[in-house]
Amino acid sequence: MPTISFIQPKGGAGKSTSALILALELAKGASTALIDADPNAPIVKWHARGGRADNLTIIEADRERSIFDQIEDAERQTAFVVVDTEGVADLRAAHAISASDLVIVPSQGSALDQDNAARAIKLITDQERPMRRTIPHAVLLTRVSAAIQSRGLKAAEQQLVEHGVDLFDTRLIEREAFKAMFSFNTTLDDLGPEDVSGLERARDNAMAFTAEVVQRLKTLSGQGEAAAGRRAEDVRAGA
Amino acid sequence: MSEPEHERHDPFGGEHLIDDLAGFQPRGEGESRPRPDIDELEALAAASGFADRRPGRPRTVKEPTKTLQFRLPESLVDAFHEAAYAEFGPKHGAKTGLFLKLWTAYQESKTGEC
Repeated sequence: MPTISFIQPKGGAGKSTSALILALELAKGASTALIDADPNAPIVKWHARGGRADNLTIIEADRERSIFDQIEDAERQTAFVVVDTEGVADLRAAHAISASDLVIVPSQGSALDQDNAARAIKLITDQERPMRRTIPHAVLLTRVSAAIQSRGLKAAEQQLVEHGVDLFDTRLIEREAFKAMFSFNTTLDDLGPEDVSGLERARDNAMAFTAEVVQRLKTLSGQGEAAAGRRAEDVRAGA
Repeated sequence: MSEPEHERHDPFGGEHLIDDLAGFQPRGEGESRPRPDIDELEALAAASGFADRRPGRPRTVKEPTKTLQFRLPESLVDAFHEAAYAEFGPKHGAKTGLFLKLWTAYQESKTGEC
């Protein structure tokens, strides 16, 4: 039932790749819908060219219909709904946020990505008061170099922590296997070591990311309910 | 192309993850999400620069703004600030909001006179 949206008003941050990775991993254990709300339709194209997995339904968002309604419809059909949005500051991102249990803001850690991540986070927190609930969100560092940690990335990470931004422990590493999912219109599980290098590490990375998402959702829906309620009270009180 | 599942290294315990995933279910027919106030949501989005980019939709063209500056007795300015915050909350745009409200009321009062 949880809906997880990927929001970043800048292109190239790895939104679609992260969304596809998460949806494919979730679909291994539960029915999952991936709503492609990007007019460039990268996920829909991936699917049309042969990309598919058991338990995974790809939905092309109808731009003339409320994304809120489309998410709600999908939530009645599948256990998880993942929403990939356009890499621009689009109103539909705001609607997707309002219907989300968790918003993931992918960022490469560059200054430009960070600025746009901050815009997305402001929009999320601005919506909490009228929605009368907290909207859990966290930044996911993406396309991180496996070999070296740049000073820029360290600075970006420190900046996020200083501003109290929740950050995923897992980072998505820049891996050939992630790109290959789109190049070959396939999944990590259907790729073989002869297709790309570092496949096992990519799979581990995808699983670690998914495990962290699921852990966050469990915390929010279960033992974290009381704390979330208290935070919601704080939001209502304007704290 | 795929390799046997058991050969995969699983840092978090794949079986635990699969068990966790199985605990999530589709939303029940009777359950629904709380709906946002669309006007309020879209106003917030627009204020953050998130626009309606659907094809064929009119783009809102923002008229350029100018500064309006004049001096008034301090007590009057303080009272205006207090009224603005009381009416619109302690946020950016409260004073402009109160001024526009007064201006609208003034324009309407003129129309009523005709």
